[in-house]
Amino acid sequence: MNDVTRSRESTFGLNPSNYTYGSLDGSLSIDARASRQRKQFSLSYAKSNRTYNNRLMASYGSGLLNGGWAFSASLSRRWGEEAYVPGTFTDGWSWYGSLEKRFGNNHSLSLTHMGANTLNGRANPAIQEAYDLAGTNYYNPNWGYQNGKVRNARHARQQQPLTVLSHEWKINPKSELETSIGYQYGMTSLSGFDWFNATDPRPDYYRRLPSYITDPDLKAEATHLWQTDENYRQVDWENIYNVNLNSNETILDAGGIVGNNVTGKRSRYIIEERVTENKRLTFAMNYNQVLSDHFVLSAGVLAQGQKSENYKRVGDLLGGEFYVDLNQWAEQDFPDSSEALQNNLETPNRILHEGDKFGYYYISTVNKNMGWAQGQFKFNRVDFFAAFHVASTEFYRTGKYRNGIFANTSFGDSKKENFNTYGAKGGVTFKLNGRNYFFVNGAYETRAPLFENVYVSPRTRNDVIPNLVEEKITSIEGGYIMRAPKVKIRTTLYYTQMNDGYNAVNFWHDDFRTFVNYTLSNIDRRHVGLEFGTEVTLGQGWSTNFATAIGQYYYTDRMKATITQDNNADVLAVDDTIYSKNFFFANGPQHAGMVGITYRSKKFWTAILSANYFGNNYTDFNPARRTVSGVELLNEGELRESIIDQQKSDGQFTLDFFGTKSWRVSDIFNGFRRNTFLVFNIGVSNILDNQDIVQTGFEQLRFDYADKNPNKFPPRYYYGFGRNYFASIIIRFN
Amino acid sequence: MNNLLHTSKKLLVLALLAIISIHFTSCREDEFDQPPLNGADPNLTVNMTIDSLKKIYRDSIIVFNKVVTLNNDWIISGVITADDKSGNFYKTMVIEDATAGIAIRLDQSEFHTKFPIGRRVFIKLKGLVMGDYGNLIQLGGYVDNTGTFPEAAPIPFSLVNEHIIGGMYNLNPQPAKVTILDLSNTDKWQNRFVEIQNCEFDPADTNQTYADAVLFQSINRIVNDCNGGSVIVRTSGYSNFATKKTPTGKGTLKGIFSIFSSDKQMIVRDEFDAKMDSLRCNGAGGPASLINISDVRNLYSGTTTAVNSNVYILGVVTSDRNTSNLNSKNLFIQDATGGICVRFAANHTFNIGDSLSINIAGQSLGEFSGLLQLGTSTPNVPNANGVVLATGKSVTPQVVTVAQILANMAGSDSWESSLLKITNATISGGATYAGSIQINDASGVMTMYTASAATFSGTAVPSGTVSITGILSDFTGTVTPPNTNAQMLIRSTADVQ
Repeated sequence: MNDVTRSRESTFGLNPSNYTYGSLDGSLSIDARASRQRKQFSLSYAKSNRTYNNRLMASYGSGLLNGGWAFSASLSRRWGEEAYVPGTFTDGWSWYGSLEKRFGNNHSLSLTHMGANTLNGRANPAIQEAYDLAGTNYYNPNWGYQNGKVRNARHARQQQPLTVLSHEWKINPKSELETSIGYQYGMTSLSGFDWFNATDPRPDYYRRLPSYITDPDLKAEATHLWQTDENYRQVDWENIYNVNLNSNETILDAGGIVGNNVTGKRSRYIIEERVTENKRLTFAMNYNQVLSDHFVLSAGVLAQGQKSENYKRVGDLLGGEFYVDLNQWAEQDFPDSSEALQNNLETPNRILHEGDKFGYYYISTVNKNMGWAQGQFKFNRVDFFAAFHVASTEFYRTGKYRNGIFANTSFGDSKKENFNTYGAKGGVTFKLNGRNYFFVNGAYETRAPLFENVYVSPRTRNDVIPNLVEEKITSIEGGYIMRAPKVKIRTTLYYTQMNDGYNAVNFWHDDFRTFVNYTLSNIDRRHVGLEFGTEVTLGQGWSTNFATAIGQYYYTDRMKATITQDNNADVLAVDDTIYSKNFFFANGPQHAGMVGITYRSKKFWTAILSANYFGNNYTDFNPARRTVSGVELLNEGELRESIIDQQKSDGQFTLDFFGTKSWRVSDIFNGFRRNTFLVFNIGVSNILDNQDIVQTGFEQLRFDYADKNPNKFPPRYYYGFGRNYFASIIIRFN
Repeated sequence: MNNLLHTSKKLLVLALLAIISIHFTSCREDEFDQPPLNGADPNLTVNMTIDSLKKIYRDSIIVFNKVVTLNNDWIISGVITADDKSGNFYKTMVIEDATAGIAIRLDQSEFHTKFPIGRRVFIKLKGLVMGDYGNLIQLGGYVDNTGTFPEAAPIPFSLVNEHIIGGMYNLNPQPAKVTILDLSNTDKWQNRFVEIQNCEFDPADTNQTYADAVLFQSINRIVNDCNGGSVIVRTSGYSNFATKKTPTGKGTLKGIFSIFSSDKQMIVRDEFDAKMDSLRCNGAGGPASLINISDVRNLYSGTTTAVNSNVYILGVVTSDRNTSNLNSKNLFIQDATGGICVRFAANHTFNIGDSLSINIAGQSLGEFSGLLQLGTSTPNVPNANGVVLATGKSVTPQVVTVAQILANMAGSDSWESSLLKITNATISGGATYAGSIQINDASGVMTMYTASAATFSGTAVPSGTVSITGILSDFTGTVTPPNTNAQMLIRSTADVQ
């Protein structure tokens, strides 16, 4: 949708925006209304080897027509059977349409709709041993051959169309009111395997790796197979279908009806889809008033209501005839209770067919209201602004299944959680002269926690962490900007402290032999660092730029964990201490630098070559290892250190190129109008084909408590693409 | 406007400085956080002491050998003093707090990997049982009625983590220093970690294996203090130190004090709990001191006794094993003060003329048919106690008359076992040396005895006047004339000149 979302205003850092209160790293407001679109028609085709192979796009803007109408539309298709990583594919459509009518000079009304339906085949991050055995850092364990064709078990689907009706009223030359109402609905889903009474179908399940096998002959055989046989290290669809086709079973009292015995092929493996269906309604009003040459007042309100339905459903029975709605993990803890096995006591032992919901089904409702006001003061030598907001957030869970283990706390509405939050920010920019500016901004705000971070196990019950508090954020930044004809500099020092955050993680726990939920609280983080950028015009079309960001993003306190199980009502720990102080936040490289050189030719072409550095990319850590029980009975030494210390990925370099050339078509071919342009873009990233760039790494949450071996479930990594390109050709005219 | 500008300029500068300083002071310190090195105690409140718990047991039963179920929400805590690492404590953990100690039976093999010595544990008592085994109070998981008496059975594996929660470790519990007499208060000390001072293994139990690892049998070894007190050290045949040998010296003994009915027992955790390398109560084990043979003879009080000090004798061997006129295990040894007969545990290889030192610490001293002997009771003197220092020495026999011999035998008996010479005597009473024959001199008559096994027993006795050199022995079974116990034993025919 790039064509139609070009009209945008963005602000950096804590600087004020006219359209919203803004967040810590700025704000982005996209004006996609028809009247803002250029009057033109454009058609483009692009080829790439990144996440998709082909893109076709057509856009039309009518510009402002007589009678005050404007119309704009765009349609785009992206597809690619195999993208950069094997097994991944893209299949997507997106569309946009906007109709606007001006009433006189003071009112306009517009209706805009946009949406995208995408289906992607996904890659999963693997452990380094698997990458090394497969011989490539792009090994993807999600796919396998089925009848000679590549089939990926992990599909991501998305469709969330948005419709906005907005009204703009120029009340007088100095004041303006914008009202809009938007409705977005749709779904996202992610598919994967579910299995019952069968071996783990994932080819990189830890027991299939040579490092797990102790017998030296078997280990050598497994190593050889991993290295040489592609089928051995990918999903064995044939075996999965065989197992299902031979799984004849009779389910007694199916659906809770006594005597209703169902016989047939009961799938041991299925593809399940974890679905979130969203509906969101937003109402906003923004008011801007120029009160004097020096003072602009803005204010606004926003109300938003959202309901998300979360459930999973049977995607593909993989050769079987039915599946059954049962909690297989509860069989261990409650071998004699058939009730404990039920995901929904209202429909026990339910027979499932493709498309049926099962497992869990709950609705999250989140309602927000916000009001804000801001004053911006501009003088010759100094600008300053002050703004504040107040907000209230309410959320609650509604369970649609009565879970067999949590029969009393899973069904119906949970307690409504309410949070009243506020914030204020302000800043000063001092203009030394027309070229040099110094600025200081500060902000303090409180934020409501997120629904998904405070329910201990929203799939199974209504419980939240007790004593919820708002997150408190303090931020201050200061810097210097220089804008001279040939040199531009911008540098900022920033400090942000965010206290009392929450996070929820869920994983299979070796010691307790059940799925365990770690709900983390008292998460205190600090972001502190320096950003510096400069662009220098060298003359004759040449310019160079340099940018660096050096930061430290880390936890400043020990988190607390409340630990619960999914198969047992016992609370395993309340406020267990996680020794997380000084561990780094895993948000990508915390040190980055870039140097680039650009040539702009008078003959309408541009070439840019840039070199990039990424460093201090930390692997996300498993909180369960940094506890007293994670290193229980280990004395100081290498093993204890290897469990506690946080890994850092090596620093990496890449080299990128971008070039663009445009032609006036009528200069080349006769018969074309003067305003027809042809543009060719090509970008090649990572020219040197560096395939060792760890994009994200995270420690597995499963930990070997028995032997305290951190290499039994080693970290997983995603690697950044090697050499990749994007080339497009666009023709536009009006 | 200028004021505003000026103020805001100042504020800006201040703010920029503030930002710069906040920035540099808020950078991350170097170290990753880590959990405390010795773990942490769980968030449990201890509301019962082990002493009170045991008192409740004692008060609630009429006689021992009953099991009570604990239904209250009590939590005790103690440091582990014995675990199952060496195998001497089978499915049993011993803990103690400031007040008392107790054993907990749990059905978890190799539990020392989770609950080792030195770790504090917290026990949730609700649901557990308390019973006794031979008056030794212990905690278990349920009642076992299959034996003669109800017993506390070990806590089942799946429930161990429900009841036993680990806390800090590396706590290095120290034993209470006690005497064996202190341990008579069995209620106070049972299952406590103690250290007995100044004790040694009984001589019969020194340098012996702790237990029988071949047949997996437990063995009781005795440990004594120097005041006559003793305890049993009982070790299981399944212990990984069962084949190690008990120490021979005196020192300290650490272990868990246990009782079995009226037996006082120490159960050690491993062979290092016995640290005994000093001189024993009787002084043995260190460098021995020299004692005169006459002083050794004077130690005999009429009944068999033991040489109760760390001493050795040094003399020349006067008997000849090669002529076999005496038992192959025996010899006669003489120093400047006198002579004595020594009986070894096995046939010895010491020759006539050897300068021999013999360590006689703890050896028995008694009479065998009238003849005073060292090593008279089994086990006799270990052959290894004799060390040859030189060879080819000779002893000058004292020249005496028969009457003088008889008088000495009747009196101080100081010449028994020493080398004597009778001159101007005649031999009568037999054609050959074999058996008892007579020596006659001017003062009287006495017996000369030669064993039939002696090499010269068949040799004809000389006629005429001779000098006779021999060792004076004593035999109460003498029946032939002259009916005195004195007997001369010659080494060879060369003794008769």
